[in-house]
Amino acid sequence: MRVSSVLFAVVVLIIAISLLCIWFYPSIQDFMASNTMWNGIRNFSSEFNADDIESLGELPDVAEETALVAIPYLDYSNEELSKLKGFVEDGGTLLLMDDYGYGNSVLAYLGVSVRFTNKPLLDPLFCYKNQWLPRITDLAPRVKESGIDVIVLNHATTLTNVEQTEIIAWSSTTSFLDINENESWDEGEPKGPLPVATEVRFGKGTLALVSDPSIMLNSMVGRDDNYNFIKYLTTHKGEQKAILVDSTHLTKTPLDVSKTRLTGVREILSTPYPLLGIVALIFVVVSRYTLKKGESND
Amino acid sequence: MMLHRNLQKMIVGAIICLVVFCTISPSVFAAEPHQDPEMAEPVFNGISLFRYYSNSLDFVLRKDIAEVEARLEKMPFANVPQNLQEVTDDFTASIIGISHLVVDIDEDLGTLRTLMGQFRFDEATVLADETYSKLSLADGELERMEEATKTTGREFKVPSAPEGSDLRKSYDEVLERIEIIREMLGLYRDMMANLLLVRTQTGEMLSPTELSLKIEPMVAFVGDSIRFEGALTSQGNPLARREVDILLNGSRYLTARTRTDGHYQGTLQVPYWYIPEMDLQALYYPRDEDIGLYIASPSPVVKLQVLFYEAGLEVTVEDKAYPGLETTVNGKFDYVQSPPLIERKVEIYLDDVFITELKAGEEFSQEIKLSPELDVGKHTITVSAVAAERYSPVVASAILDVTKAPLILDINIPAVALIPGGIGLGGKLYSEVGPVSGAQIRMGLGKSQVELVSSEDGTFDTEIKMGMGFSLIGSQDLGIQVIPQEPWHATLTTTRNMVVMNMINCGGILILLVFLAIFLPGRLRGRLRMYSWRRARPAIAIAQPEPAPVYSETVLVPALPEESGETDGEPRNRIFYWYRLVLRLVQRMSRALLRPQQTLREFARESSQVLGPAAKYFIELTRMAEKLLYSQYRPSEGDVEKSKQLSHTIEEELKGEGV
Repeated sequence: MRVSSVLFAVVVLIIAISLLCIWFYPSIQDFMASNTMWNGIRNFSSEFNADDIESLGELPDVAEETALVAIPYLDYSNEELSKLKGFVEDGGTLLLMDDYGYGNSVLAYLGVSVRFTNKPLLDPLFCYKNQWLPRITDLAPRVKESGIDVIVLNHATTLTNVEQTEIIAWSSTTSFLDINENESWDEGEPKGPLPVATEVRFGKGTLALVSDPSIMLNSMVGRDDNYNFIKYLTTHKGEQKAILVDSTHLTKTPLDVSKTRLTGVREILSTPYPLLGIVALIFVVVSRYTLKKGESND
Repeated sequence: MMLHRNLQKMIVGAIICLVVFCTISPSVFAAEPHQDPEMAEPVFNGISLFRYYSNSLDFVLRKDIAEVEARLEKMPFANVPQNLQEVTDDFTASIIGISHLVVDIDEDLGTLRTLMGQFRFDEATVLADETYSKLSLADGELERMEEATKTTGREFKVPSAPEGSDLRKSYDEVLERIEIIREMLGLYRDMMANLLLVRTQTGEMLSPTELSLKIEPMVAFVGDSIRFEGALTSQGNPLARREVDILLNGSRYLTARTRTDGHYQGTLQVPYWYIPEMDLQALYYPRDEDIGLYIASPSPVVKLQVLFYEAGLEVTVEDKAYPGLETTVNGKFDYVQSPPLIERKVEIYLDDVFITELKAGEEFSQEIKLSPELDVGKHTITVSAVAAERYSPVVASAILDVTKAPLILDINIPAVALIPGGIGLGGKLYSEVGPVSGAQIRMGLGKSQVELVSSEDGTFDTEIKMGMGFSLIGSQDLGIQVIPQEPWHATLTTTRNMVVMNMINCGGILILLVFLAIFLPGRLRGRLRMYSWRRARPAIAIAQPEPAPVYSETVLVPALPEESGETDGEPRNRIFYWYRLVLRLVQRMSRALLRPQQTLREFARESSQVLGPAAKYFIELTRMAEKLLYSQYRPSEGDVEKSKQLSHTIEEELKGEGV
């Protein structure tokens, strides 16, 4: 066997193994729909039949029936912000869930006064296991009427500049905003109750803000009434909206990027002309190989 | 070989490690904005717990029961150690209990003060006894709270906490609050004792009074009048021109005045309280000049049996209702044995919001219009028939299922749509409510989209333009979205499948295939012929007499040496000449060709079936030819002659067969 043939075989093997690894190795990155571990959102996606979108251009024309979940861990461009604004104005629900990301850029563009404080909300008493997992029991009557008594957050922040009438969830009186991040309350640090979720009418749509996206995680969505709370936020006039998750503004590992690209390549290859090309290529390679083998046998 | 295997293993291992590293490493090093709740380390905070307790006790001191209950109903969600759960529950129960007791005791003190002010010593004594019991209960609750606090303190190691530490301070604050409540209870005790002291000091100087009460009749309908009468005396002497209050269920209803003989009487209209029994009592207490002379006296309680008509009410609603449309509420009164009311006022509420009112007979039916903004789901329709004189009010409810009517789309799609060009699409939109008019319809096929509005009767007709594109032929999804303008219709998003054929592309492919079908076979044949020729060439070498090859069944095509004349050359070639001659003849006759993988002997055996008597001669000649091909045998002139003879014999025999 010639050296070039060995090299060719090794390269093909490497490519094949890499592609298989990329395809079958599950993502372990936060908020990835393919991630079945504690920090993925596979359960959320399957429970709510949520679809990932890889571009805001994929937003539907009929916005009224759709709720877009945005977790802005990466900043939005002006063009994207314009699309988000148009989506909400046309009647869509934008569920903006942020703790330490770029949620305020979105809010500033939309021209609403509410902001994420981007500082940790800690509750040493009303919490699950420790103060980083605060439990929220002060809910607006309309939320309680939906059968929601308590939700649990995970490394959350709070909202500020919110109209009292628009707040739908507050932290407890024992909670506080840990501005200097020393994990204990100090003089001057705001004490609870602090707003953690709000619903604001915007154009024909609704802007729902939650100061922690972690409630969607596999390990969180089933805790307390988190599932019902998400359901409440994505329901309008008693009807569950179709949910889209904006995965373009989530931080991704090379594996996730590769998975996305591989899916894209697969979609392109499944169109008629590339498929025809592949068949022709296989035909040519096989024919050539057969003829060559015939010659070598002689 | 071993080295190669190791190298392969190393390469595969390195690739897997690289892929795993690339996928895992960013998550390992990135800062996490959340933690795995399952793996989270439990941390309990005694300071927060004690402060929450002391703040809740502040609300007890403010006598704000609602706030105390609101705070403590959250305690099940507090993060406290498992072994403190029971203690926490005890503390919670006690603090709620004491908040109620403190408020009750406070109210009792107010009532006691009033009773004492009216010289109603007997009632005051009874109330005081009850209040003392409550104070004892409150003491018990305080002790339990104190004990729970101390147990919690030990769990959080308060005794070993330094003086002035937050933990110690918060713990002490709880105990301080408990002590303050204890002091407050002590104050209540003192106040009660002071109030009751008035009785001790003045009771012996005052004259007792007696009051009687009679009513006629003892059974009456609501709204009817009854007579009451009685007498007020003090130590046997009538008390004239004194005011006597008539109490209904403990509350003053009217006031009568005694005559000179101490008697009082009057009529009382039974209030429209639809309860089966009322307590009537007369009360005298000293006023103006009587203060300091007499002690108050209540009469014995007299029971009045109250009559009224009751009716049952059954409310029914439609199975489904739609936002923005009217729905019918039906009701039917059942008066059982009571005389039915010809007409009564009925109010209708939707989710406790007043909608309309009407005058209803025994049965009624009312249409109500639902708000277009009404949420879909279950709603409560409440019908309240207000009280009408002897008829008690009646309320009944029914669940109204508000939904949006799903759209039904009948669409005509061509069996095969040809593109490029327009595809005609028509159909009708309707629902169980009726035709869907003015609905916005969006249809998309590939990248082409069309928007239209349905007509008055719900029909629509349009054409969707399709460009050239790269598609060939296949099924494609036609996406349809319908947004109705009426609030009672649900939006519709659906897809329909249709076969789309791109005529240009398919035509091009067809032309290409035809072209290939015409030219490819010729090219392939030429290629294969060349291939066969190239395969045949090396056989010449095999045919060389030396070195002698070992006979093998796998030798596929034993080729014959080049043709040459019969007389010239070696005997070997002349024998082959005669064999070839016969072979051609046999091939012509049998219409069989010597296949590349066939040996001469196999061919001879196969052909013998059609050669008849010439077969044995042909087999003999074949053996001779094979002998020359596969051995080092050198033929003699005799062999040449024999082959010639055999050839002629075969020819003659075949001629006889008509070849």
